[in-house]
Parts: sequence; C-alpha cells; structure tokens
Amino acid sequence: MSSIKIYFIAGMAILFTSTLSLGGSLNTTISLDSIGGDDNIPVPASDADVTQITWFESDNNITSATVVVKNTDSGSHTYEICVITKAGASFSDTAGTSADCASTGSISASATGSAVINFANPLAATDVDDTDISIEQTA
Amino acid sequence: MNFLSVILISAFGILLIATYGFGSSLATQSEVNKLGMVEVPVTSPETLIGMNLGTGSTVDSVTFTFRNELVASTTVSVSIKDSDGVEIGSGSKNLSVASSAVTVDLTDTVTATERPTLTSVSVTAE
Repeated sequence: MSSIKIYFIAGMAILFTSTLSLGGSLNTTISLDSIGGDDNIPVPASDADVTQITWFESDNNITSATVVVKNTDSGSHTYEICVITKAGASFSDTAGTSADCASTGSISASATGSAVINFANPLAATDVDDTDISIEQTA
Repeated sequence: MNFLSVILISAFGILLIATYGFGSSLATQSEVNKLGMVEVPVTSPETLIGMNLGTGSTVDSVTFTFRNELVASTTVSVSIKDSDGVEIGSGSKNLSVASSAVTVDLTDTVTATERPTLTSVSVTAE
C-alpha cells in the first residue's frame, strides 16, 4: 500500500512540473507577424492599379461604387475588389462579411476591368469622407 | 508495478508527446493571395463622387468629380502617398469658375516605379 502512495506522489509531482512548464510559455512576447499560418510569410502586392472609382447615389445615399483596375502583369488575372466608405464613425459594410466585395472576372494582360460594389449600409452622400479599396488577386 | 503506477507513467508519457507537438511548426507551405490597398480620404464641402487616375504607367494628373459644383476660387489639392506614408505625388488647382469636375495637374508626378506602391490619394477642397 505504501508503494502506491509513493507512485501517486511521484506521478503528481511529474504532472505538476510538466504543467508548470506549459504555463511558462505565457511569458513569451506576442508576435503579430504570423498571419499566413507560418512565420514571416510576406504578402506580395497585387498586379493591379486602381485607375478610376465612381460612387453612385440614390435617395441622397451613396449606394454603390464602380472601381476600374488595370492588370499590370503579363498574364490574365481575376481580382476581388472590396470597397468600404466611411462617414465619421459609420461604415458602409457589415462586419465579418464580404457583402461589399465583387469580382472583376478575368482581365487580360495590360487591360482594364471593373467591378460594381453595392454597399450593405448606404451612407448619406453629404457625410461620406473616406473610402478604402482593397484588391485581392484571386487568380 | 501495480495498475496505478502504469496509469501514471502512461499519462506522463502522453503529456510529454503532446507537449512536444506544441513546438512543431506546420510543414505545409502557406499560400497568400496578392493584396493591394488604396485609401481615398476627402476633406471638402462637397462629396467626391468620381476619381480618375488614368491608365498610364505614371500619374501626371488626377480628375475629380464632385457631387455639386465647387465655388470659384476653391483650391483643390491632392497628396498621393505610398505604403510607407511617403508622398510620391502632389498638386493643386485653384478654380477660376465654379465647377464640379476638376483636373489637377501634378507638380510632383507619380513615376512608373512609384505607381505600384500608391496606397493613398488624399483630396482637400477649401
């Protein structure tokens, strides 16, 4: 019976020590450059230039935008374009969705193409003061 | 060796293996789509509803279209910056007559080398 106690105590000591070492990792400094699922994966710029953007209004609200991009690469590509308009602290999109995004379809080398983005939350035309455009090269 | 000791030693072995796994990096290679970003902040009494940078490899002028006419003597200024926040193009135009479409010829043009780094077109009308 006494050997069982010794085994139990030894086992608990081992578990306790192991658990302590796990907790030690919490002291490490947070690193924010692991977005790609591995360390230090660079995000290259898309092979596209924004050449034109036109905002459209309906009932005094900015309801949509047409973005024209130029494929600057030597091969065809498709781009997913997202646009967010801002009016002070208000945003035209819905957080966590791709509602304010649209695809250009395939654009051949050195050609232009466009995408029409309809805003999920149209903002008052007189209040819009900022626009963010993102281009993701999807193909 | 009794049953309890076998259980404890096995549990410790499993813990060792599991802890070792924490330190292993993913062997799979990540694939990240290419991304671009352009911001258009506007400071103006009239809402901007159009911006044209042109399709050339350089940017020599920018045409802006506003929702309503800007009054005469309004100065429209543009500051173009790269991803590091460094100004790579700028210019301004003073309107002699009221107009809703304004073409600003850049005094500091965006070169072909700078064009892919363009990430901000700041517009001011006052």
